[in-house]
Amino acid sequence: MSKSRFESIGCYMPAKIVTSRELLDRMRTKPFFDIEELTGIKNRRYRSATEDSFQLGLAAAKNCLSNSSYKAEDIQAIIWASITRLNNVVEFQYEPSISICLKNEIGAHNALCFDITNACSGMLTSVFILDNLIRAGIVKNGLIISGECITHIADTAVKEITEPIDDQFASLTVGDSGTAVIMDQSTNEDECIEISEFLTMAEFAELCFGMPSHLAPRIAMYTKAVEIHTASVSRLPRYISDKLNKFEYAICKNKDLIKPIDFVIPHQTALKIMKSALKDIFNYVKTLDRFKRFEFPEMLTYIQDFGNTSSTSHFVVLYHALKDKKVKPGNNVLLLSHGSGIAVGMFFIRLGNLGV
Amino acid sequence: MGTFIRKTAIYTEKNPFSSVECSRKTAELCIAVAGIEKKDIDLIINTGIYREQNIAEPAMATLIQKSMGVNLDPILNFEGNSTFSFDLNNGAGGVLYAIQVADAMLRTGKIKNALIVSNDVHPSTKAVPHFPFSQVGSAMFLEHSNNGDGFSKFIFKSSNFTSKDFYTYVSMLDSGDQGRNIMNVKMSKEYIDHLLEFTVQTAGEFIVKYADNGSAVQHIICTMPNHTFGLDLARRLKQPDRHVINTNGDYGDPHTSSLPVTYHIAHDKGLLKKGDKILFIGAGAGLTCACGLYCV
Repeated sequence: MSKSRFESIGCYMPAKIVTSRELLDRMRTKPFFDIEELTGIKNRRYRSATEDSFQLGLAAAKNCLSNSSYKAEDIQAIIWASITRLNNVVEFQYEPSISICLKNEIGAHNALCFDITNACSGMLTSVFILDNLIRAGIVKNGLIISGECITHIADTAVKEITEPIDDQFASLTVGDSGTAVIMDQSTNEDECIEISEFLTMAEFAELCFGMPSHLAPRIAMYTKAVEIHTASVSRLPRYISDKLNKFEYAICKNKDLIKPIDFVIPHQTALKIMKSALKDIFNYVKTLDRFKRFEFPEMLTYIQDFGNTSSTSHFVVLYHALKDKKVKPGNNVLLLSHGSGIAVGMFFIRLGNLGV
Repeated sequence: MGTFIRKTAIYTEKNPFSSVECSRKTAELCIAVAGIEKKDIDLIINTGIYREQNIAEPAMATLIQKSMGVNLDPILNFEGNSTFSFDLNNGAGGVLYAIQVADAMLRTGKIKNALIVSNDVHPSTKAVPHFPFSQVGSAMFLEHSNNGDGFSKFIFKSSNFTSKDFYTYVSMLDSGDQGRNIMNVKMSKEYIDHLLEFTVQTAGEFIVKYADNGSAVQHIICTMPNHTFGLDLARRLKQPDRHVINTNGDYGDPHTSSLPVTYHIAHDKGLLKKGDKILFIGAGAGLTCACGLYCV
């Protein structure tokens, strides 16, 4: 059973930059906190008037193929993984699947196609699925894409927030993006997805809803951010440390490594919260015998520049970190998924010389 | 060695109503007849497309897991069990893609079982004349089998040009304050003819390759965008009419539930004998056609 690996990554960020200050200036009712101060988000990218989820995803897929050794016709599976499904700019599309539209646009005519929805965990859910499809030998490779025109919810929040406390405040943190990743069979133990784990804490499934607004033709998101945070901080340290403990042999490869994980990429929500959550997690990990001398991995983030890009967040960060040469072949990276559901996932990746 | 349908259930009593509630009722029936405890469910995949209020987040499967009370808080209440949930969509035949995904996870040992649920309701949860689908809940409980039964072969094809023959969407231009209650359904007059052509081609290739040109097959279970689609398809594939299990007359078009609903009815009526081969054909928007060969 061959493991899978990341072969190449593609990314497309729309050119338009909108600052947190500009968003606040457009609001009649200001939040009682400073968004930039609280979240660390200075800028986020915004779609142009002609861009939609499909266009952002398509640009990322083309970029990914240009970084890959595969041609479109070699691709055996295509998974579309976004929350927003805007096509033809203003149409939220249900059928046909967006994966089919994308397949035909890039000419990947031999690919098995389907769409996955799992809120902000959509892309990593698709990595989990494709990892299993590859390991089971059903496909040899596949392309995962998400295009997120998610700033529609920020525009809705700007227009609809009328109280200083409102479930739409989290919507102000998002930014648009498209990302894509090609995965294939690993031929080298030093370059693979070593661990892929997911579960859903459905007790908290109703703490965040994305759906049309009931006031105007807009998309909105309603988030109980404090409750999500409270639920997560008391559970994630135990989950991550349990998994690291369970898979310590695979992670450390029977060596007493001080730094088995070089980098960690959490879901990009708010800088201070990400830092404090990781501190809690890794302090908990250090209580395990095996990880006593464990040195904290470095957190990767581009939240200052791009905000919370929802389902694409880990790949926006990984792409830019590889481009900026912060992350190099041979590095081990931990991806932590945390999306509405609450879906919690953990991926331990040994990076090879993947194309970006 | 393949993925085996341990039990199925359908729910037809009350419609239209919440798709989460419909899936909960169906799934609970299914695991009750399967003799499975909720805590033992490893994976829930929802393949239903149309849901109340056009909810885009979280996954409907997650809301179904919540309403069923399946391993709700697995990290704090840790007893070794947890469940993962997500939505997988690809038109009317989506369930075959979900079965392929579950099959992969069963083969790698990532899961021991999977529950696939589906139903389609108009987002207003009211009866709307132009909405072409009837709400029928379906649930399928899947496990791995080493007895030579279950799914052995799949094929998944979609047309090389994206067809606009069947297209559904909510527009952000003209939905007003009704975005949670509307669904635009565009279906061309030629849709069924085009879909039939594409399905004949794909299923034709499949039976030549994997089913001795059809002589190895006793039953055909296909999606039914109209009440003659199954028979038209069988005739074009030169298969006997009697092989087609046709349920369109019973429940209209249950869309993403079509394949599990038809399987369930066939099983209930005692039509399926041990060792029988079923050709599943899921055809729909895209155009897409998925085929799966199943040994009872």
